[in-house]
Amino acid sequence: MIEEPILEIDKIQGNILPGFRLPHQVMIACKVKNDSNLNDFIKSILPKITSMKEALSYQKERISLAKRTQIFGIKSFSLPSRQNLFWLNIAFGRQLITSFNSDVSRLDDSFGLGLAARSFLLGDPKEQSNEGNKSNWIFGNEEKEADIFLVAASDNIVVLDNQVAELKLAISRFSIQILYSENGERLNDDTEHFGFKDGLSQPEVRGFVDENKTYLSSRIISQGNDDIDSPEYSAPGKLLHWAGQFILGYAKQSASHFRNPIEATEVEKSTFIKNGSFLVFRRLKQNVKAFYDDTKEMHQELIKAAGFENITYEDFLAKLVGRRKDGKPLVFDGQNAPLDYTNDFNFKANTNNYTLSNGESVTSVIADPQGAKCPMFAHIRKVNPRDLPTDQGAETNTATFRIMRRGIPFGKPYNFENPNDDSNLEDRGLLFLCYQSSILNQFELLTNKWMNKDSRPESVIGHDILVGQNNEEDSNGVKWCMFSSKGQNKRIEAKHPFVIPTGGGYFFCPSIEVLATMIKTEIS
Amino acid sequence: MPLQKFDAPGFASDLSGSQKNAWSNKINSWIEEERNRLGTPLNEFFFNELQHPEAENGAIAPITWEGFPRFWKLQFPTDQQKRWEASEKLYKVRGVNCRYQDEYLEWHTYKVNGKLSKIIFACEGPEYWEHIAEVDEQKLLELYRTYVSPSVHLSDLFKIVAGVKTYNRSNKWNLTDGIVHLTHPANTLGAEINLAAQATVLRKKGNVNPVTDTHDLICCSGYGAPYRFSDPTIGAGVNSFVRQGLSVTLNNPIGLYIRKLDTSGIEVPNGFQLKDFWKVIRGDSNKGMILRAEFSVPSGSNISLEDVKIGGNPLKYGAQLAEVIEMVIYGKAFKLENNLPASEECGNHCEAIENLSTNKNMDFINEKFTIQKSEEKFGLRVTPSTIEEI
Repeated sequence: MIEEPILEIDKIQGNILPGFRLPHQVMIACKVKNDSNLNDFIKSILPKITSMKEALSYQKERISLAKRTQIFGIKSFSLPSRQNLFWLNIAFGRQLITSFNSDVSRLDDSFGLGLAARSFLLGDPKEQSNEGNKSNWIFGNEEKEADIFLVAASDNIVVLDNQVAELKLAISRFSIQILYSENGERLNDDTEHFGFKDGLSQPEVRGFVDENKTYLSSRIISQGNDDIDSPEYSAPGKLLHWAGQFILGYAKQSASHFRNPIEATEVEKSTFIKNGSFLVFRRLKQNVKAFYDDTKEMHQELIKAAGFENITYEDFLAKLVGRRKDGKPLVFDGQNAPLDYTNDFNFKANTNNYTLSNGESVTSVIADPQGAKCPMFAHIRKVNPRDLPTDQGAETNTATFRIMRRGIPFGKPYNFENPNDDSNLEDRGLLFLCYQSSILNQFELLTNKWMNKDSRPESVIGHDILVGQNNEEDSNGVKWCMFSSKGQNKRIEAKHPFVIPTGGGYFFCPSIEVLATMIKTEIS
Repeated sequence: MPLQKFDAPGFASDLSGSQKNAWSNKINSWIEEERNRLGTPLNEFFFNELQHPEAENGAIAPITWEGFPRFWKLQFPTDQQKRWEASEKLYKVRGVNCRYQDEYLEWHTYKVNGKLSKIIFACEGPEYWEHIAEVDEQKLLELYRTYVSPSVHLSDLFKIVAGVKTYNRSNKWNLTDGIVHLTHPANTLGAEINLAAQATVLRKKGNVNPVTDTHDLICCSGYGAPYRFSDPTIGAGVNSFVRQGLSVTLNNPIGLYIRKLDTSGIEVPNGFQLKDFWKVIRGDSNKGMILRAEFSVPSGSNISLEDVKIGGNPLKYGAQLAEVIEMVIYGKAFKLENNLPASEECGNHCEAIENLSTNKNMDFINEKFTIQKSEEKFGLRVTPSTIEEI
């Protein structure tokens, strides 16, 4: 058994772990030209790069104060002693990073090919006339592939605006071209634009944050977690994953055992790659009007069918997502589930009865193996099948596909009270970011093999209607899902995409230590 | 209409009336053999539809999996090039010359001037072709000439075993020079029926009753290889029906099928459509029952298959398409029994399982060793001489 690693928290960039989470963020994508002074640019921003250590220290304080004051969400950023932060992370595209180290591209074929080449595989539309076709992207297609991707964040929008203005001046000064820049803002109640609470159910990561062996993820279960062949949780619903799934160079999740890891490869442990991570960025425009118009029609069609007359519209939407708008999972329906632990549920097996280290008891939550409450096509079941076996292998394998999501909404919320409001015509959506050790085996697998397929990861029951895409020939983009109730089945179709890709890229986010080595030694 | 007889895979129309009946009788006998092996009362949970016309309206359940061998993905988790190359070599497995493509999908590639020009995918079990060889040699020859080459001679398709003329599953037109049906020893219709039958047995292990874990189930019952996409998926699907109190069978016509080619990541050159390249040769694509399909350059064009891209990669291997081919068998579930069968104690078919991924860094040069070790690891009990590259 490999011992959990001591994570090099001063070298890992902070948006990978624990995540910036700050309410105001800006994404900037840049192109390096022949006359760009990349050396001096990296040198100038290196001191500003936020480490895991810095972000962790702040988040621990914020979360501790939030628990004490019961002030959560966006408001909790007013609690810590540190205010007016400016955090920054940097990542590099395949062409630029390969000029420093060729192992990175070889480590992940998908990264080596780039997002534009993989676009159709991800289900993006193939017709050039379609808004989501890569030829129409704001950036990230073959002509506008980014070399540098920056994530800037603050608890204070004024501070962020000022700092980003300075940053952009620096970028221009070094003759680097800005391809794209956009603000992201956390919405009230941490929803996304369709109105569902987002960012729930992030993977918990094994490892220590100091030599004293302080766990990154506090272990608060004293009983109920003892079977060494079963999944291990740091808290109810918080499944532990080996750090190498998200940060290169550390032991990774095994395909054949829940708790025993597999060693990182020598390449992953090499200096240039260790403590780095692959970043996927997708600018996903959300068509809120189409979502509500179409789903209302779909709901009407469903309730016309015998056996489905009593399904409310909100229930219908919740079935597509797998959670209600407030984040409560459908698996909790009809049982006294622990509302303090809204992630404490499985699909295949009931959760354990837990005793926590503070003496609190958490009762078992009954699972939903047949999808009676949370259908097999529901978004959260498709992208995170939890304890289920999948088409990709046994249930032990399922945790190897998790990604660390760091997305944030962009654009103004849709104005339902005044549908004619001009702002409703503006773009809104999600600046989707995720970190992983393999784009091929994590982000792409979830997207291409599960969300976009009507037959996986469990059975032939339909697509992920919410986010999935269908660009297969002769499909006209139609997605479907099969509702079942008391022996009756009803197929419902979605004719329009609700989420439209409008830009993005695949990047490598190196360690802060490596960033320093990327600066050429000055010759006096 | 209640089932009267078992049809040829994909409703293939190769056989005459009496030949069809003979095929139906064979399927019937294999099912009965499996049911006898299960014994009473378990055999009521793997039913013979000829004996249960009331099952006509049973629920048909497609069970799907990916066509590219998971075995090679586990060997080379991030190096696609190596896994594609390795999967297209020929091997000797348990004394049989074959393709190491063990997800009930095999393919053969054709090249012109060193460049890939055509890939043929096939998923028919060898038993059906043995049947044709047995009942109508001329038909066998005609089909081989139609599907593979006009140069096929009848003598190419047979060998003498212990003085008896026997159909040769690994004949050159099915292995080195073409493909008609599956060659890997595990890729048979008999294996499919056996797997479905054995997967109906509920299992218990320690305090766990019934076992529901996919991996534990296959190791308890030994109905296939746990490192594949197909066997654990099929077995777990069947077992879950029985756990719900349903009896199961394989829906007529019993066969292994290509459900579809996932076209999402495929880019064809300007001026062409995907349907110019992908042609279903046998079976029925509308029913998700494809038996044989071809991916080739459109006739008269001067492009090569390398002008087609999959996920941004030029098409150089049939393996790239196998990764986006979805396989299927069709189960049928029906309520026949009121009580669940008693669980049987877990068998020990996967002793000494180690972590397969420990093999991932093995040098490709050691692939013979790697295959052998992995097979041993998963309880197939091969001897060192049973697998080699040919």
